[in-house]
Amino acid sequence: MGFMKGNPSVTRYRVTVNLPPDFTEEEIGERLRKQSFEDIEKTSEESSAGWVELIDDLSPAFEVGSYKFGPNYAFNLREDSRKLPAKTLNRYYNIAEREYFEKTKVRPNSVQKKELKENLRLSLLKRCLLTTDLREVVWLTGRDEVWLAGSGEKTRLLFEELWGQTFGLPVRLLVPVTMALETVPPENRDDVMGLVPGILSGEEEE
Amino acid sequence: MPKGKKKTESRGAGLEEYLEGTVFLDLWRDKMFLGQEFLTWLYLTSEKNNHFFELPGGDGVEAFFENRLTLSHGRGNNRRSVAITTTEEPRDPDWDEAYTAIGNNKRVIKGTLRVKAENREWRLTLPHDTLSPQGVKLSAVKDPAETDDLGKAGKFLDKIALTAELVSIVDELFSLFLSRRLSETWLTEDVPRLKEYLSSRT
Repeated sequence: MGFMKGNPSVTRYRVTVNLPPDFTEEEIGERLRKQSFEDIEKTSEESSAGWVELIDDLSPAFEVGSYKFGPNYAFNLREDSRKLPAKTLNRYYNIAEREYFEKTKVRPNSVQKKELKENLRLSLLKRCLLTTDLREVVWLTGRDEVWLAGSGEKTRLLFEELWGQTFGLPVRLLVPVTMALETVPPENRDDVMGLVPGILSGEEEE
Repeated sequence: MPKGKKKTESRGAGLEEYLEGTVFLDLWRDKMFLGQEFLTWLYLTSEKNNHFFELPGGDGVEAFFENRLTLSHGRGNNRRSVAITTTEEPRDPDWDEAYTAIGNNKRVIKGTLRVKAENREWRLTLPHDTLSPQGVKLSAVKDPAETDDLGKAGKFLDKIALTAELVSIVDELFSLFLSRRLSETWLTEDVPRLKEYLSSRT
């Protein structure tokens, strides 16, 4: 769930470097455009991921004014994917192999089998409907934070990869231990690292 | 009222160098108990102090677990979890099952939390592994006419601002816990106080 609709869930990242001075609104728009979403509707690609605008989530245009909201930048991470079930591929392969035999009177060898299956896979993929997944991304420059709407490892990894390719700015996932290490003065970081479980016993617990 | 922190060097300055050579996932897993201890401390302290917390910045907030709490003990295949729910509204303040579970070494790993600050209120699920708010319900008191006039971008900004305020409150509550957990009097004052309160409830 995101901020445009529903009850938002947040995965928090810290941007660990200062915003470079050349990262103007125009520059950020240009970088978003370069990594914008590419449609795979008429191809046999299995997946495609990239940025689209926040308000118009069909648009990868990123005109000035479409991705800056107050002090924040916001856009969508869009991933389209299609899946060809193995059973479906096998069914069509068996038919294709029979047709090959009837036509040539010989069974395909292993190289031919592989080629036959791959051609079939690409042809069938085109007929599979795409699933679209949209995740809002909010870059709160005033807090040095980026919020990814939603959670889950797969989405997180996809976001981290695309963020790095687009902006090249390192981010660190905010979890209890990194929050703690940020909270304490640098001279007390060893104290955090030395903590062991023991909230009520005061001794190490399982 | 806690606001978004100003951009200062205190946000982990030099932390990258400090963590150099550390495998992030290992560190996250090794210190996963911090989130569990925070949520357990939050639950007990909230119940003990009638849900009131004075934050490090001097502001006061109400925070309490509402109607669902998940507690767990052990790790990996040995993990035993129990989910405690109530349909009572408001729920019975003596949530006996939760006290018993904590007394049996279970720790809070997730709960539905309600937070109130001035005229704003949030309901959310807070998981121990990230402490990142999930399924945030924002129920800010607003003039309905004003809300009707908000366009998509305005409504979006409104939600961001309210969520940022909530995130700051959670950060400050965690900071409050951490300052106690790392203090020299944690074992001599805080732990006995928590145990005494737990004993009085079980």
